[in-house]
Amino acid sequence: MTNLNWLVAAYSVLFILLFGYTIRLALKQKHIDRRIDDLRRRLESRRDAP
Amino acid sequence: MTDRVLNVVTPLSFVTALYFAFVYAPTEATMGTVQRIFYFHVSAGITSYVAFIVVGVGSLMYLYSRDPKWDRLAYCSAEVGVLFAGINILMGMLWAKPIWGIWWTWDARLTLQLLLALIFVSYLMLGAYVADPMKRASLQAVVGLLGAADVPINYMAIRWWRGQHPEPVIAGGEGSGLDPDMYIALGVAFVAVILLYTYLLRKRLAIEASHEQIGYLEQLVASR
Amino acid sequence: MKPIFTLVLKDIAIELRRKESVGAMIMFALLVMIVFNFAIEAANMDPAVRPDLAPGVLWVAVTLAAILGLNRSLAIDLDNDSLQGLLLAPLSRGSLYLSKVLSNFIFILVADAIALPLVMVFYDLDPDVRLFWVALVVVLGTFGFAVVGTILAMVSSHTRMSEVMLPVLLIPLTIPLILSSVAATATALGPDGEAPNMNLIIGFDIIFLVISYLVFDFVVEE
Repeated sequence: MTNLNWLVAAYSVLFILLFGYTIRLALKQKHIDRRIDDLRRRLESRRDAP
Repeated sequence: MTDRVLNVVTPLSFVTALYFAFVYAPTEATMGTVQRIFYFHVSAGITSYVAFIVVGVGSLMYLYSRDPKWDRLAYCSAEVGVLFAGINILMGMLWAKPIWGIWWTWDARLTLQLLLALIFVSYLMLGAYVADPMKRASLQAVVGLLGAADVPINYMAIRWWRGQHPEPVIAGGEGSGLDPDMYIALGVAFVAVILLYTYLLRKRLAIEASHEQIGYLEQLVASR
Repeated sequence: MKPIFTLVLKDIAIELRRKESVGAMIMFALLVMIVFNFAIEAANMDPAVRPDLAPGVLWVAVTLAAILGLNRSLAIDLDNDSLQGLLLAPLSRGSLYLSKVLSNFIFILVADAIALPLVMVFYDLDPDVRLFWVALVVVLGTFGFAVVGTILAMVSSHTRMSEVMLPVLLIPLTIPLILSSVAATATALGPDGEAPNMNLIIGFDIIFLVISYLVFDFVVEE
């Protein structure tokens, strides 16, 4: 039954790698979205102010 | 639209596959519960090859058409592909140790998977170290194409070599003597993993598209 | 055809004058084999079995020496921007690639010509008729290295750490070549002295020669 440890370890690897990558992508996307909003806002303000 | 469907279907299929791997599939006679690693280990392995085919196709199409969307497809697929290759190798090692007593053996399947991972990694490293973006796309496409040509040659070479000098095949039981229920579980796991690959690939591609947008917006801001 | 040979002769002339690349490669091959000897000592091998190591050690030495040679050959071209001059020449990019492949092939082959006798000395191999097959395997395998190494050297030259990038790219891609060459060398040196199976090596050489010839343009364009 100690083999169960290995099963747990293997599936932990699966979860950690999958979720780790997914979360990393999500964070990057959020960061980029924030930058896009920021740039958009700056464009708007430039357009309003002659 | 595709994204919305994927956002629902992917986690659903993953949970379903977990059920199939842990509950539906019968416990293997000789190896016991640990064998359940097999379902995701094999699925990840096959998916990494699919990812690599995409890298090869993307590289070829980029060289042919110069359309950057192919270049993006190629290196995003490489990134996700190396993830699944890594999952396959690590899960494989954690399965091999309790069952066969060794962390590693140079049998055909493991060796091929390791080499594929290495080719992915060298491809990605190249991309990280080239300064000029246009140059990077061309160079990565060339290496992607060479890699894609290499994988089948690798397969033949290693299969031939192992044919001459057989080693105990880790997980040789996959092809032989699988319970039909196990095949079903494997199929379900494979579908789940391919969906995961597609989902992650689209998310990764979306980040690239956003990068493009930032570049465009920054230019606008600078010009005003 | 003629421009290709002219370029190859130019490379040989440069090397004959400077005498750096080939000498370094030979020295390196020798040193690798010496290191191997001490590395293997720990295994306490039965002396009768030691000759079995020869093919592997030979190809490791050839691989590492080839990487050294490819890096140097590229460095010489990038020095003084002589590559620009070559690109301006009335020569197709494919032909330029072929000339570089031939030059690199010749240089690595010279190093092989020294490495092979060294291996035979270090591992007590009998110089006899089987040498023909071994030589043939070495020639074909070296050609494969030149084919893939030349284009990858040009690819790596665009990166910041070009000398490190070359082996990182080259070794994974040439594993099937190395594997097949070691196997073929072992067969050729075996007791039966039968003709080794060189299909994979030849296939590798041809496939990668064709692909690299076709895409070399993309690597050197500005």
